[in-house]
Amino acid sequence: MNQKITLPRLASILSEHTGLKSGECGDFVRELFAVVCDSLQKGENVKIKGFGTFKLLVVEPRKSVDVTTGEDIEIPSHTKISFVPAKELAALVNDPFEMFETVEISDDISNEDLGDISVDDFDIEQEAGQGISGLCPVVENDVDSDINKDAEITSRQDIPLDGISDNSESGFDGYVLDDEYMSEDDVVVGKDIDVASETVDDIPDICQPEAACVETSEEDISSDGILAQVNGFIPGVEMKEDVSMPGGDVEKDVDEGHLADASDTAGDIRRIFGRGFAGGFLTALVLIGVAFLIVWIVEGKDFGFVERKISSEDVVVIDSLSVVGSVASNIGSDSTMDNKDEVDVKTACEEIRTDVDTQPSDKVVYDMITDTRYLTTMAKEHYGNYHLWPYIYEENSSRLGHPNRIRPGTKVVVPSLSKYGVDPDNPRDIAKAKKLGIAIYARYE
Amino acid sequence: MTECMGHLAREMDVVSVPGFGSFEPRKRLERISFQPSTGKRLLIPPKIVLGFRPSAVLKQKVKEGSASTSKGIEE
Repeated sequence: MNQKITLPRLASILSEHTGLKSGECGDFVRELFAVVCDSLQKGENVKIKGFGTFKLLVVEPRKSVDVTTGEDIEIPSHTKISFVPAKELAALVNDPFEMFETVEISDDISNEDLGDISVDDFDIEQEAGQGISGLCPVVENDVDSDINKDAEITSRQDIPLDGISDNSESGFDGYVLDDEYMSEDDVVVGKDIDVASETVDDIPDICQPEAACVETSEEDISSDGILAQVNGFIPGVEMKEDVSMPGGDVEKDVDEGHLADASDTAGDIRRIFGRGFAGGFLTALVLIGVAFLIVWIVEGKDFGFVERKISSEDVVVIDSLSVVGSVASNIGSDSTMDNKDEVDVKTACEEIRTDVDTQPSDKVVYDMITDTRYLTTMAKEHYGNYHLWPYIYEENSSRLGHPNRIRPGTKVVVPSLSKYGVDPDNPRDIAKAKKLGIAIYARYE
Repeated sequence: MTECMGHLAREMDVVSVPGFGSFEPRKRLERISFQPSTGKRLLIPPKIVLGFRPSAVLKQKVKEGSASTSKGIEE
């Protein structure tokens, strides 16, 4: 790092690489540059393939001011030597910053915001830009007709977010259950929006709409088998579209797990599911001057599983999932469910995670490669250091080809670092990860 | 040779060749530029470029060389 490599040192490094004697390498280098020097002296440009071009530039005489005396002086015409590295060499040198690429800036980001963008925030900013375009309230409704009969679900409700929070600009447009569950959903939704508005408060620099997902799925565990799934997306403050995607996957998995679980134990109706799951996370950036300050906002996904008996036969499990972004605060909220129907309603505790790193290691975390989301981005997000990407790669190596040519849309498993015994704070482990990365690239050379 | 230089430069090491000059990697900050054709703003990422600083000896040689060639042209 930042060493000055002298000729003998360069010669010894070269000899290691080529297997030739150190002296020969030294002579070669000296000879090479002597030739270049001679050619330049003759006024010729020199191009070494794969290395670069040495050019002579004639600088026209120009006027200047002597800084010490303040007198006008003329800088005489002279010849400057310029070196332009070849593409190969430039790419090699730029390797540490390879993951950055040129991004178009959408028009809705003001110049002030751009002025604050720091190097580390670059990727995130770019994804935030995408978040906007991909944000439209998606409302799915997949309600079984049985449910309609039994409970008269499916009524459309438009709840303006502004009524709840001044910071939120978009309205809520989703399907919620209309009957007796309505009130409960209302409460849950209201809370989500409140918390979302807190997020807005905390990240004034970037006001991106957040898509908070509220999913309510109902399942009849009894033999009648009524399954209803109501998905509603609340447009709120979306920092990352991508983040919610893996969250969605995880959520699906968990849902499936629970459904299977539930059907297995159909008799046992009054079980409580209390499972907090941080599937997705919201990353918010607070940019102060040139200093980098990244605030990670985790979208805590809450699964409040409530089982209750509506009539003598119908048992409905309401699985209300809310995605809530909140800065550095654990909000334990209980979905306040009424006991209207004199049924046994048990509310599962909702837990909001604030830190990705606190994710339990036994939970499988999925993530998706996109045009702007790479293994490095994920590593930075999940582990806090992009150098640790080889571990994500290794975990999925059977399905991934060349690490630079992973198709967008590829789903990967993000392993817990404890599996590999890696501590992201340990520089030795980082160095090991770097070596592993080089080894991975070496496989494809 | 190229590969070696690249690896060294990546570590931000300066390679100096006596009598010729030194190759030093320089960090370039990210910047915002405009694409003239579409007028779109582009965020150019930060990067490391390999710079070259000719030594005084080489400068002198080139100066002499250019002086002699220009003299030759005049004559």
